[in-house]
Amino acid sequence: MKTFLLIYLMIVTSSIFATMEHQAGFESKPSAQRLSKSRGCFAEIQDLGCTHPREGQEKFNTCLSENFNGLNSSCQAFFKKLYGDKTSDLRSGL
Amino acid sequence: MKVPLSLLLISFLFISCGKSKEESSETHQVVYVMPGADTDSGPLPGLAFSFGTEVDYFDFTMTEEEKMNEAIEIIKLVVATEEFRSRVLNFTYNGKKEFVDNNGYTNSQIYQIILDGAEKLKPSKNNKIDAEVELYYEASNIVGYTYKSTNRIWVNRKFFNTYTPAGVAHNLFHEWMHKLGFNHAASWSVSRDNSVPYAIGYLVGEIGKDFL
Repeated sequence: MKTFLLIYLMIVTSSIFATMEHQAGFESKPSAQRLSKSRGCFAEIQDLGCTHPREGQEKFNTCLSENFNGLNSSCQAFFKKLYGDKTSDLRSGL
Repeated sequence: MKVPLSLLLISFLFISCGKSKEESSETHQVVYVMPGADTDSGPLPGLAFSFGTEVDYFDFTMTEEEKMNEAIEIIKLVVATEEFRSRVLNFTYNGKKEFVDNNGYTNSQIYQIILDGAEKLKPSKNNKIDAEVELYYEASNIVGYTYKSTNRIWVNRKFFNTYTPAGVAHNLFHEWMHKLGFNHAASWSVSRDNSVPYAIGYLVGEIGKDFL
């Protein structure tokens, strides 16, 4: 009887797990160098008068396009990777 | 002991068959793209900028709520990037420009499905994440989970507490991809990491690191 109970519990547990859509794993934390670069570039564009994209993505994109040439080459590369070529923007009207 | 073992094996076979039957019965939805709205090239589509969220929290403290808000903000910032569009559209596995377990959709269609935000259980295309998120604690290696039958996503505090908001965003987006109807293998394999939920969740986490 105990064996059957054990099997029943295993089946029920397996069944629940089979229908569960889960994610397992650990996060790979960003390196200090990466954090420093991204924060530095957002600080640099803010120094040029742009607000952070959190305060309005469209406003930020326009401002980034207008001030792109004023950024150092490293931050130009950073923003180009993130937002594409800002020298020939802008968003569609969709 | 022979009889119970046989029973157990038969039971597992039954469970396995049941699961594949459920998966094969899924129908492919037709993706409607607005005429003239090319999401693959040119400026980012407006839907990438207007992408929003409507997430209800369950069993959160104030501090936890702030962290989840930050994760959700990161998701919105990531979706509004060219890098996100480009990496979804150009995702390649085994020499083919496609995700694993893609439900028959191209990368471009998957990008559009994300922007549409039409969950299987809430199929209106409202351009947002509609979900309930509940925190729980379990000493396991499960970061989060959900079921097909619910809008709720469960997130394990064991990981939530140690993750950066980008890591939380990664997990939340992974689980939300399930809400859009995408699945993956239950056990780890290289191909599973290239499935829609894993690969796109990873992209959100990776790009999200630029907003920490």
